[in-house]
Amino acid sequence: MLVASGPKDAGVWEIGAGERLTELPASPNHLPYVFSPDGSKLSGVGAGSTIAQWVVATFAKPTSSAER
Amino acid sequence: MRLSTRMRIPSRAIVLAIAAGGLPLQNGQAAEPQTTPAVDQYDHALPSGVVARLSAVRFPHPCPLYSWAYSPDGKTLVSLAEDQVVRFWNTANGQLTHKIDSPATVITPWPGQVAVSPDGRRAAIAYGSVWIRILDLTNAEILHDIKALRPDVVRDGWHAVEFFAAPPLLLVGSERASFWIDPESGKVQSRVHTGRFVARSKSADVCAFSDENYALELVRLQAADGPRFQPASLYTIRADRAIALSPDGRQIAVTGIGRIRKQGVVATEYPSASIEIHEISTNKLSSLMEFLGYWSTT
Repeated sequence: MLVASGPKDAGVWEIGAGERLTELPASPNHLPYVFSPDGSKLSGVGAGSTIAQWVVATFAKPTSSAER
Repeated sequence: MRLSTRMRIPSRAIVLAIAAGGLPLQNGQAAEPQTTPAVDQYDHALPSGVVARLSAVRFPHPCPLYSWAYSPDGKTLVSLAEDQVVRFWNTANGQLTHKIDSPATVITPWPGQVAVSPDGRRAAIAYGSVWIRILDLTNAEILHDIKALRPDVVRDGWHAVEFFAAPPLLLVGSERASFWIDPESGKVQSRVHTGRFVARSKSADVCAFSDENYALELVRLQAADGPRFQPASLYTIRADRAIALSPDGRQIAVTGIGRIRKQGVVATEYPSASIEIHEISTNKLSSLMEFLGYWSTT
């Protein structure tokens, strides 16, 4: 999984499939997003100088059975 | 305008539904405010007049952030912000557990960086290229303050910090060289590389160093017989672009690459508005993802 941030937004990609899973807010001041050591959480700068955390599992595309 | 009966009933129903959720009503009037502590579910104080905050753990800082890192067990977050204050946070509830002021006034254009050791015992803070501070992660005790060799020259200041498990050393990158520091003694041990340390894979000891011409060298750490780096690959990238290594050290992601050189010759050119993932062992481009404008990759 790869997270890249630009001036307007950030993207989360599944590297193997090259698929863009979701979009996140742009990170200010060129700061990188940071994965937690076990890879379960992703942290980035939130509103008002806070650190926001995302649950990485929620980025995955729903499986075909879940879509039904 | 007078409301019809049909409109009054649903309107009252909504009020009662909210009341059942927690606002006590007495004879149709709101009860006197109870003297409960004005905090949210994580015991963070609420601004005056605010009755509740619906949010996740958020680690509030009084100024813009510079850098942060998790402890290996994920229970502690160490942050550095523009006020040069280091903060330790409990990730479970967002509570601030320690606050450590900077070693001295640090005013440089370089923001600074935080790293945490793989054994969870130490944190290293690079303050604005002038100081590196080693902290005990368990109790926030200050163990060492290490001044840059030429702190008046920003290019030579301490910029990037990263701990290694074996050997248990701290790798510190400045613009013109990178060094090993022993976090226990606080001594600078030796020069590692003539380039600036810019990135490392998390679970394999592959590192990226950049030289003054922005040529990026990927090396693998050999810990036996003293730590040294063995060249793995060579790229040329643009200075202002982001770099990330995959945890297994087999792939590198770069953004906005201009040219890839092999043995000093421009081998390939790519458009700048893309993220590229290269296999380090083969120097081959494996993925190309279009994305407009880059600041950072992780």
